[in-house]
Amino acid sequence: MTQFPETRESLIIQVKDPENRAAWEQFVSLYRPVIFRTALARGLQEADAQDLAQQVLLAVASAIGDWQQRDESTRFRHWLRTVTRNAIVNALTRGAKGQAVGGSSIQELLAQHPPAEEETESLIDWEYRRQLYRRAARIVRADVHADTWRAFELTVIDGVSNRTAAEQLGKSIGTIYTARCRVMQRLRAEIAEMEAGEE
Amino acid sequence: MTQQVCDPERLMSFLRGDLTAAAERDLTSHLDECASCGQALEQRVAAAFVWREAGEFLGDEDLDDPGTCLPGHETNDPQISQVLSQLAPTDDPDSLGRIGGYEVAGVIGSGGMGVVLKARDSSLDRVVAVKVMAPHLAASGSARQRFAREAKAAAAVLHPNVIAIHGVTQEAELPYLVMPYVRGESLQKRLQKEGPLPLVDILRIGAQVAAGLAAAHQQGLVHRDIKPANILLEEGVERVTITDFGLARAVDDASLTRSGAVAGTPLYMSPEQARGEPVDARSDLFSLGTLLYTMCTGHSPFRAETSFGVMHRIIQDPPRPITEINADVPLWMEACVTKLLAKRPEDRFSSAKEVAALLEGCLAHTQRPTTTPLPDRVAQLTPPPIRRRWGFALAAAGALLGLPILAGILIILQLGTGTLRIESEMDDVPIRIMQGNKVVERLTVSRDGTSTRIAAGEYRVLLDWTFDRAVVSESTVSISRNGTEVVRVTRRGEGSTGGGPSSDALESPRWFASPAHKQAVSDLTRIINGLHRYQKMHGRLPTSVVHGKDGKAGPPHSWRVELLPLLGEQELYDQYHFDEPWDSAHNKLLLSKMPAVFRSPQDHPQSNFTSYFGITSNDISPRAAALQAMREQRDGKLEADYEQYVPEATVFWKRLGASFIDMLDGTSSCIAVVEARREIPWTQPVDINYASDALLPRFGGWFDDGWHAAFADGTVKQLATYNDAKSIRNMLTISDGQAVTPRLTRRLRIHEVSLLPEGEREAVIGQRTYQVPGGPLLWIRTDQVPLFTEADLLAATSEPDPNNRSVGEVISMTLTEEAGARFLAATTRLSEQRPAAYLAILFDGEIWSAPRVVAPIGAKLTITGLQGKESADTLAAKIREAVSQMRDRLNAPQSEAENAVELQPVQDTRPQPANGRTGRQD
Repeated sequence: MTQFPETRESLIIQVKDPENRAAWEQFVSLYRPVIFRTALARGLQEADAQDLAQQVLLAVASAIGDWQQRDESTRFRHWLRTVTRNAIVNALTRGAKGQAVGGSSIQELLAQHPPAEEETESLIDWEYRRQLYRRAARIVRADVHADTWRAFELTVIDGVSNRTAAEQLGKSIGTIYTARCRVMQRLRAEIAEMEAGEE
Repeated sequence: MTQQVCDPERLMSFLRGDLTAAAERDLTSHLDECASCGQALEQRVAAAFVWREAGEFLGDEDLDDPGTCLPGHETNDPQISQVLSQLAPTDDPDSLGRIGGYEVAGVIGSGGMGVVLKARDSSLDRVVAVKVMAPHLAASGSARQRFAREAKAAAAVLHPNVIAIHGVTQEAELPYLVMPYVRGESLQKRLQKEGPLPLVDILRIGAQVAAGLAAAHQQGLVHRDIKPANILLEEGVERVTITDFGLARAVDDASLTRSGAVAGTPLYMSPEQARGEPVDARSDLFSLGTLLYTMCTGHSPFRAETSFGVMHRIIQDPPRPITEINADVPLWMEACVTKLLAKRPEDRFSSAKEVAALLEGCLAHTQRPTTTPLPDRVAQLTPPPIRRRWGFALAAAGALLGLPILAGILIILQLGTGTLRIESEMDDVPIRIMQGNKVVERLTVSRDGTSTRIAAGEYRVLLDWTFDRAVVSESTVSISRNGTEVVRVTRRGEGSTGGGPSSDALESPRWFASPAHKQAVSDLTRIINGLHRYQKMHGRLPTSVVHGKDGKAGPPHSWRVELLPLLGEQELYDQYHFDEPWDSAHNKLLLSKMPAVFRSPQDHPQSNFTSYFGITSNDISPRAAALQAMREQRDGKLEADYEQYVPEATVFWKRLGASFIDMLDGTSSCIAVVEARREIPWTQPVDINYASDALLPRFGGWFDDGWHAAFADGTVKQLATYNDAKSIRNMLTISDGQAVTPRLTRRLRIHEVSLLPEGEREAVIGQRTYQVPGGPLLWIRTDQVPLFTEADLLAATSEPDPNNRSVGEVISMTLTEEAGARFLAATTRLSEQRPAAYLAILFDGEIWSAPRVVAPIGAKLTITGLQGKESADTLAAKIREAVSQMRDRLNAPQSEAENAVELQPVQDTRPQPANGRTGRQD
């Protein structure tokens, strides 16, 4: 696998700047599921997909030093995002040849010209968007009244009609409309903010 | 009710949050009545696809917990929504609702029986699982009663492997029962994730399930629905819990009363269940058998497209033997499962208790095979002849060889009634077993031993490609009935030549990654040389398929045969019967006489398959005819006309031979012969067909770092695996008019940089050992994707080190941005740890220098501390040469002169540009 396992841990600690450290942690929480689910969608088993997520994130972490020394001009998040996407594509395309995962060194993962892999790219986009939604949903759910969230959940996620939802929740239809619209508006605002942060 | 009109502005104000509480109430009540305003509001918030997207993204799993508890899981499942909708309201914000005294926290799952909820028992402050009867079942009175009765009976079974029942409620609208919440996963989930389980786990799980069943059977309770989904694994497999006792019966009641059909998935049913006959405890034993089978193989024993098909197979068919699917499973285990799967209940084991004890005994045996024998009952089940045959094989092998049995005994193949044994000194040896030209089996031989069974007959045992560290003793074996044949795999000794040139001779020209690379280049050079001479003699190249001697009508053979006299194989050529097909009895005898030049050095020395192929194109015949016509009336407009005609032709044609004048790309960038890995006997007139609208064929396969090709101009190049498809297509065709810059594998290769352990005085790179020059060395691994190659160099200079003229030279290399970044990433983190690190530069496969890295800044890599001006100059010159070649190729891809510089190992034998080319220049 990697040639220098002992360097790996220390590399993560290289993210010394607290602001960037927070960004990194946020980044990991956002991207780990993206990598994991992309890998699952590409046919890896769960355990392998977990390994792959770990491998990619470690590879990215190991490259952080590089960014700090050279790329101060680039936004940290933007840089992370690019490196990670390349690493996912590299890991999935190279790994697929032989064993499921594990064949790639850090350098291979960080190679900057991954083979063109539209399927994987669009999977990543898809899963990335899903993660944005999920994270936004967690924030919004904590902010709004439980009934408001429930109205959104029933009608948007569970696909129940507004009328049925109103009956189930013992609310008026108007309340269901305002509730679900309010949640959706908050969701979109949160997502927009996160996207701005990532770009 | 101040504003009961439809007012878009009011909607916007609402969304901006500008409405007062009273105004918002007004809006809400207006929306109660006015659907169009409701829709307008929704459209303003988000487009329809965003609403859909949100539902899709948020719908498929719990937001907080990706584990087992999934509120909203499978919410497309109406059963879940139905059950959730019937929960009582609650004050607890974390709760989905109440059922009895329980606050529901989420949905664990949903099945034929009903929905399982995760809930909190607020009075006892414990987490429980509540199984709520499916609404459609609850509609049946007899099913409700059965549900309650069976659940109460199950509650009476107190056993660690049977789920406890805290309580049953029959009176509620939906009856439910309360159980402990088991944190873990079902066996079904584990099997989905991991496939077949290790034997120890199978036995452990099986023994516990059998013990649980025994306890229930003692109470007169039959489970009736033993399947992986009903087996919970707590904390791995240490504790196994059976759930859903007797409940299947309630489902049957409901379905039978409703439709007269058996509901649910029948995969794990017993034959008597499938026939709808009364069942007893022995039915559970059959299901336990299917459970064990599934754990051994990863799938259930009786599979079919439909439920009816499954039941038919359960009743009629014997299952496929486990060891045919998973050879790791011992035969005694297969025998146990087969007995459990007996069609007649009386042929199975007598009780779950007996099975539990036997599986325990097997487990003990598996864990301590030397001290604990297999239980007698199980040992008796195993057919003795098979066991004896294995022992015989081992003894006979030793006797046959007159040798002590080798340390690593790898594989025993049961070939019908004969045995093929493969012994090896090494682990992880890739092997293929061939019958005729067909690969029967590919195996990786490991010390643990794997067994596999294939049909009897004559076989060849070959090392798989690229594995050059071992040799096979006798590659061809004929397995007779009851006979034993042994094939040995031994480590290839340092002095072992295998018929090839001596390794010393191969060492000298430096820039090959390995002797095999050099041999491949040399082979292809001889072949393309032969083709050039053929063209000289015949005025054209051979066709891919040659009919009769010299193409003068007759059965087809390959151009490879036609080339023999030009490769110094006149004698072999004369032996070929051109009036017979290539696979006639006589001609087949010649297969084994294939000249080594047609065989990749990576292939087995006895292989009859060629490794080098021409590239043929489909649409060549009409084009060839047109070209022939044009040849007869050449004029100044020739080239322009050609281009109209031939978008997709390659060097090898099917009916007429091509000539160099037909190759309009400039001969340099057009491939004639490629290296590929196919199983094609060398005389068979088969090459690799190319078509623009078909998938690009796979080339190479013999080397990890690319593939060799002979170009029409006589050069042989190793192409990188990372060439894009378009470039390859351009290189394959002769006249698409495109400039082609093949990416070649590099001479200068700097791979991964890593740190040599402290105190290490030597570094082994490639096949040589290097002394570390007085300090830790940043060395370079050669089997990785290069960090950079000369293609990434923009410039290279050398000058005396201004700070220390006596010591040496400074080389500055300017890299491309990307390569600089790669190199920087690799070096910084290491030089940070060890400031005085050294870098070794590998050129043409050998270390040229171990200079001190001074400054990898951005894309500029400066190297100082080279020992002596001479080596620095040489290195810089080499690097500069590589760079200039690179640049020339980029600037003038069609220029013959520059291309000719590329990787020519055997410059003397390189053929002159062909006459066709000269003709064109005239």
